[in-house]
Amino acid sequence: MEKAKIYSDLELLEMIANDASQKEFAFKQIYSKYSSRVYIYCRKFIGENYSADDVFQDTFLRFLKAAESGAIIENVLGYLLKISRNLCINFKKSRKEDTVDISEIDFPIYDKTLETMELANIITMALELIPSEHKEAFVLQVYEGLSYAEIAEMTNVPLTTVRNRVVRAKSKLRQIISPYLADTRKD
Amino acid sequence: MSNEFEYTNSELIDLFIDGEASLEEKKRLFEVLSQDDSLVDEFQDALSIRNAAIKDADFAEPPLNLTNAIFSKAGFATIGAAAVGTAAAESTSNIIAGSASKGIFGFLGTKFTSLIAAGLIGAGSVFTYTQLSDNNKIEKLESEISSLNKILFSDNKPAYTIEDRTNLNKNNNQPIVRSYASKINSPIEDVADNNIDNISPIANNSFEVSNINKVDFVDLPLIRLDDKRIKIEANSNLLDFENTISVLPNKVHRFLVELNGKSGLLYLPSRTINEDGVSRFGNVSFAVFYEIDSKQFIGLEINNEIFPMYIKYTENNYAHKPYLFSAGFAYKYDMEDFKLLDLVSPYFGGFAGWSQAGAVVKAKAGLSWMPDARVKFNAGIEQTTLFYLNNTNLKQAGKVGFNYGFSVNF
Repeated sequence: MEKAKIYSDLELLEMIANDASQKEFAFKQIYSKYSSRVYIYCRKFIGENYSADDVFQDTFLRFLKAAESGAIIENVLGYLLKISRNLCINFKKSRKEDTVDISEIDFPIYDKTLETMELANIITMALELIPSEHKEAFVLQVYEGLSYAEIAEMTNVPLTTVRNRVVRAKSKLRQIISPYLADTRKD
Repeated sequence: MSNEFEYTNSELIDLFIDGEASLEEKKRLFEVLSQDDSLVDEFQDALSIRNAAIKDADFAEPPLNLTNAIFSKAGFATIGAAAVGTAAAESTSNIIAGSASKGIFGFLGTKFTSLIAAGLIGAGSVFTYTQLSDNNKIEKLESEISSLNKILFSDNKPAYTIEDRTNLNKNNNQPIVRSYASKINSPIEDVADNNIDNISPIANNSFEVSNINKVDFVDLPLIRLDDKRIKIEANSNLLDFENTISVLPNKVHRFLVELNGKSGLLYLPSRTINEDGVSRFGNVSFAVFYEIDSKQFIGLEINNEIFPMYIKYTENNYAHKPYLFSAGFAYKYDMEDFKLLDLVSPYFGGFAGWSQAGAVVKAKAGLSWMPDARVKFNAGIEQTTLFYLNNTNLKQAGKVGFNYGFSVNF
């Protein structure tokens, strides 16, 4: 199998905007590169439901439209996350939902040994219990690996606010999950 | 940082782990950690949470159907499963039409009632069959979706799991989804059972296919194309394929009873209707159809409709007949899949029969609305043509009218 040439994001964006024969290839390259990152953002921010899939889908279609029209995109992932974020916020506004009471969450009963994936699932559920802004900061910092400064730039809030949001989110999560983690420590 | 001392000891842990703690904050944290064992536990918890979340993110991948929905909406070719995270563009190349050889058909012919084998893509050759006795089984198929490719196609897991689901099918009435695929550049393995050895690798394959491995693809994602077709896709650097399975429902004999009212719009040649003596219920038709398939129906129909005419009984003796009564065969084609405004679908029909005055032919078209699985309302236009003899000359008269009614299927 012939090894494919690796193109930079800039080259791929150029192809989408100006080369109809390469548009599909370029879009798929960008999709394959960033889809996981955008996907986890949508799933964690909105929750594990079909709306997250809709937002994810809209994100890439809007990105394609923008790229086709020759929009200046310096940071593809940042651009994708921004689109996704706007869509997620719109979705949340339309749903008028914020946090839910802990009694509404049905935590599954696990064995004493918490496997990593089980813990990941618990984290996802616990995320539903913290305020939306804190959750977003957590998702961007942990799942997307963004620095506090990058989060501040993306969300357009002061760095200190991001700092507060991330640590409060983590602290709250830990508080929620601690009974489960305590069990694992005993083992 | 202006508010660095506002953080609790617990929060300092997170700042530190995130690499965002200032020197002052780090000092403070180390100091309290050395004195407070519970904080050490909390530190461990924070690390566990972070590691689990990062690992979770590593596994996050949009499902194939979502990826394909995006590509499809963007007007691009859809792709196979494992390509999403790696090399999407490669997966769309090398499309090769394929089909199962007579070996597999022979085997399936004796063993299964429904058979569908089909096309495939790419580096390997794939033969798939399935037995599904009705559409409800799609739900069961979909319920079998699980995490798949990472296990099945992982480069460092060359030993595929082989599972015979035939017994499962027999005992538990589960559907079978099973494929046989070739793997590139690996030693030839025995594929003697089930006549699979009769299958040759796909000709004109641009890749060297040196063997056939038997693989059970029960865990592959199944993409529901519509009520009757499921698509299975997967690919990797070892194997690419795409396969569409059609679900053949058990043949059920269904009948449709249809009752219609009519009203005339235009008569050819032009006629003036004398309403005296014309029954309000004189404009009706009744039909019983047999469903050939979900779209086509054939049946018997009787019509009684206003069709002003004189019928010759004897020489110079004509009787005025306001009605045309006809009976004959009818055919109806219902475009169920084609929905207008997501509500109604078009239908077309024809009728050929006999009346007391001569042969009658009808053409109908309209829209139907199906509020539930049994009842359908329809409204449309109907053209009736009557062929009759006048002094040995074949003549015709016609009528265009509305046709409206409902049908119930059994």
